[in-house]
Amino acid sequence: MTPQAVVRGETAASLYPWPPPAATARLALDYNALMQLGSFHSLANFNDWLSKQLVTSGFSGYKYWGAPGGFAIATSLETITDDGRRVDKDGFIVSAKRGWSLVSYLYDLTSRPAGRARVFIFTLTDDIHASETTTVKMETVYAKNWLAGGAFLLSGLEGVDPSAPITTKHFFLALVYEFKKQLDKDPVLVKDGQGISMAGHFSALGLQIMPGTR
Amino acid sequence: MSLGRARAILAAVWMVMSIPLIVIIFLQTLNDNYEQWDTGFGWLIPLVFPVLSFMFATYTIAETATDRVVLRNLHGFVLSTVASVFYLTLLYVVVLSMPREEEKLRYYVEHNMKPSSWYLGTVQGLVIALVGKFFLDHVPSQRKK
Repeated sequence: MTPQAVVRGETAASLYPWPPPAATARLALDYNALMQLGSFHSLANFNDWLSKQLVTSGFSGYKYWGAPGGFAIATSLETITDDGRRVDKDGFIVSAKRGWSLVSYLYDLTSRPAGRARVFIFTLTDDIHASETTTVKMETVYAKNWLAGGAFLLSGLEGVDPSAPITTKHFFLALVYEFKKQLDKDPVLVKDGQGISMAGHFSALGLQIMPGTR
Repeated sequence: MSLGRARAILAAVWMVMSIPLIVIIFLQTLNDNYEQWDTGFGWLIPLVFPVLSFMFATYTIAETATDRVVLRNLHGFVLSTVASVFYLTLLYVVVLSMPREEEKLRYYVEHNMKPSSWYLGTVQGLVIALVGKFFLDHVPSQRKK
């Protein structure tokens, strides 16, 4: 399967739908805002910066997908707490960059157990339709298939030239899909405005993608 | 060391180590960590309160009579204290090992926490025997004097 974005309107669950389904929270940075983060001159250049940010924040095993004029990165579906902190595979809370403290440990131990999950989509594109509403409804199956397919490296994407320049038409779109887990039922997508804010997610991860945070 | 002081130390060990456990389970219960609200205390109460109740009942009775008597059975005191600390530490291991992810927590409660009552209950029986022997051994001998 070629890891390319599906054309508009298509709903095949095994592929990456375009425009992306409505997210729980989103961040859009236009070209000028993007350039405040760094002087990126090519897709590869921006990817180097973004992937470094993701790795520093503890992301691994994310996948690349093609997007019009650029690319998209899909992270894995991860369990989180009510304030956006990551829970590891053994079910223990990971506090990014804050270190371990007895107070935070006891707080975690006595607070509500983590019953949410999230997946991020980071997209660099020049398609103005990327922000349009779509009829495709986000489900966890997408998150799983995004990781099952796609490419491990930007250079592994067919039809995407990593050395292609970033133009003034390009913009960066960060989407987070938050799911509320239910016992013995499929998780449900948390609707826009009812979940953790994008700033809250980034803060919990120590991810510095917003221009103001740098 | 006087017998009264030794008993106070043993009682303090139980108090200091069991109160945080009770608080943790209480807060977890308030914050919906357990599918059924009484699961946490249903596990903790049989494992802590028998010893606490026994200790304070006998401690109160014997307090004035044996307070100044010199402790003769130092080994009994040390053994009781070490066994108590070991036992209470096991309870902490069970509580502090709880995963914080909902599904894994449910599994842990059903397959680890609840069955642990059987093993911990057995250990508690041995601890009660040691603590009970230490607390009650001296009472008849004081009466003889």
